[in-house]
Amino acid sequence: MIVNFAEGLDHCRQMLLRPPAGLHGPDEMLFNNLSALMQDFDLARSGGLFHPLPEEAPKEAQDASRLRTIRSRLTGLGYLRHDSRLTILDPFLIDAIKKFQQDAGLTTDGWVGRQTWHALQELVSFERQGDIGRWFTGNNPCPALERAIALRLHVLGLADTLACNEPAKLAAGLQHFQRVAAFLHLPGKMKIRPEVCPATIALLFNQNLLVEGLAAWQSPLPNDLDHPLFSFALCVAKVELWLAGYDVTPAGYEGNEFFRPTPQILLLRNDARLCTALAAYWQDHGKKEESPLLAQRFACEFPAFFRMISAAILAEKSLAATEKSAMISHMVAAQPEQLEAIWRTTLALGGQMWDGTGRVFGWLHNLTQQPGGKAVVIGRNIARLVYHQAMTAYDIARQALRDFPRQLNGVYQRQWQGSDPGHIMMQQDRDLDFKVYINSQGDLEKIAQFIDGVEQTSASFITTCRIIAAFLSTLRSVIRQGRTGWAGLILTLLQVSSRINALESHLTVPPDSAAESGD
Amino acid sequence: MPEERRGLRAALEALRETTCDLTSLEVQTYTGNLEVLFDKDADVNLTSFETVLKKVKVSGTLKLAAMTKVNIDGDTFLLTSENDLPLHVQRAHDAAVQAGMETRAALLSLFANVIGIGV
Repeated sequence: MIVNFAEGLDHCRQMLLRPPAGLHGPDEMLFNNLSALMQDFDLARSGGLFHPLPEEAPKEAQDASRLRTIRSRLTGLGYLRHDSRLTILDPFLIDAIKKFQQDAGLTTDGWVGRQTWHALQELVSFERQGDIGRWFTGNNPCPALERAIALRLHVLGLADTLACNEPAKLAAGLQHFQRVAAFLHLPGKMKIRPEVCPATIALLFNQNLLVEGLAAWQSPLPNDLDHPLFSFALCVAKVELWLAGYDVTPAGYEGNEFFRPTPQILLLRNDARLCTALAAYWQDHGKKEESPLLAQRFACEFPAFFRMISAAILAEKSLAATEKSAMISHMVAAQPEQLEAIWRTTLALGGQMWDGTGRVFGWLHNLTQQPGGKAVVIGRNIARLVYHQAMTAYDIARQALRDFPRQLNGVYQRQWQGSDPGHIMMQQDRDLDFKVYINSQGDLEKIAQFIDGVEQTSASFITTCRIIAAFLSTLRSVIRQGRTGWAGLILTLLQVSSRINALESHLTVPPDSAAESGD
Repeated sequence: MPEERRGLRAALEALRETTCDLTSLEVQTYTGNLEVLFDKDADVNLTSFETVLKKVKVSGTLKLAAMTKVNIDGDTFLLTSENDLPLHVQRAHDAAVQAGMETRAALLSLFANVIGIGV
């Protein structure tokens, strides 16, 4: 879908700058403003500008980027025979989602809401590692994790095939991993067990630690793909280049037929795309002349390559949210005409859109710090960062808008929720004045719980108000600068993102979302 | 979000009906050695403080344990019935004061931004 940047945001502009005559008071103005904002946020979604996760089972698929990612990840995990690359929610995809949900212990409803999306992220992405232990019952992994392990072993060059249902091949892959970990002295002096247990799998999925291990390697390796560490290093490099936005795709992520994957060793031999991407990476980091040679001499040079990746990971960790936001906002504010191209780029990115943005921040930061280094590459990496920054802010602001009436009712209710005459009651008189009644015979624990609830409800309401206020004030200033249409909305989101990101942790999840199955 | 807009309208109408003056805050906290003996068949969906007090049997005394009044100029008046309020009573009172002050500040800031005088 092509986004028309000339349209949109009309409601807000009219309301903020030309409030209609005859308004009765600030509450009427608040209603008109928030109502207009809600309409514009809806239009931004239905017009294809942003693709939030659906809050209920979608009637039709709208988001090509997310659907492409979901399809490719489910293919990698073996829930689809091959990746058709169709951007529709067809019956095959729905069945695959259901099977994944069943295997991951989620509610089986056939659509990808927040919970299913996060589960896919945790199991398949390289940057979003969560608590791997939650996929185990004791030492037994859930079936979805077994598939994810098989995929990870394949991606990292530790297993030639994605044979998740063959325990012998899984064990062989883990033995291979044990040898590599021993080479790299990971984790420390301990030796991992070559079996599916939480400690081994947590290390296998800890991409940052694997990078650190490779960066610390001291001696050259034989240029031989049969050497376990060499093929492993090449595969990790491929993943890292993909995460950093270079034009390579790790094995298992390219949509090959699941049951007939190409053996890793064949993929790596004479991999021209990998060689080009490696050379481009060296070149982008100031090694212009010698970059092709450095790429060819990977067996000797890989620790230096991984040290650069490690530096990008560290740089990203050291960047505060405000710095990231400022970095992106300045870039876009300097060239707002780029926005349309950026948005077109995001539509084609697929899985790369949703993994690796942390590293890209570090990559970008390090590039801009280099004297004489390559000027910032305006391309898909910038598109990834801009979209993510704006999308995250959109999600938070949208949640605050949706939740505001419930929150307002929460603090303005006559009787505070949870009041129980047997223990404690709180009542709003008028004007947010309160009367509290504490029963001397009440249960102290219940009283403490009630007080916690009061604190949480008011903190959440305050946060919601602050998010909306910050958004409105930024939007007003952006509009006054003459930025209108959807570009105005995106610029507002970019500018306000660090402020509302910092507030987000105080928001409570509305009860209907928490209960949502896929979400 | 048409449903949300209807919800917003209703919430703001409730706000308008119950709000006259946000310039001062008053919180009163009562304690009592009460036996809460409800008639089993009675309606327990109690809607107000006063209703509850009518429905409980008071075997002791209900007393004002603490009262705080905060004016817009920052002047604060605190009245307590005892030197050492029980910790849970103090905490409940403080939480209500905090909730009252911060929620009205947030609401006022939102209104200020809506009418264009917010920072």
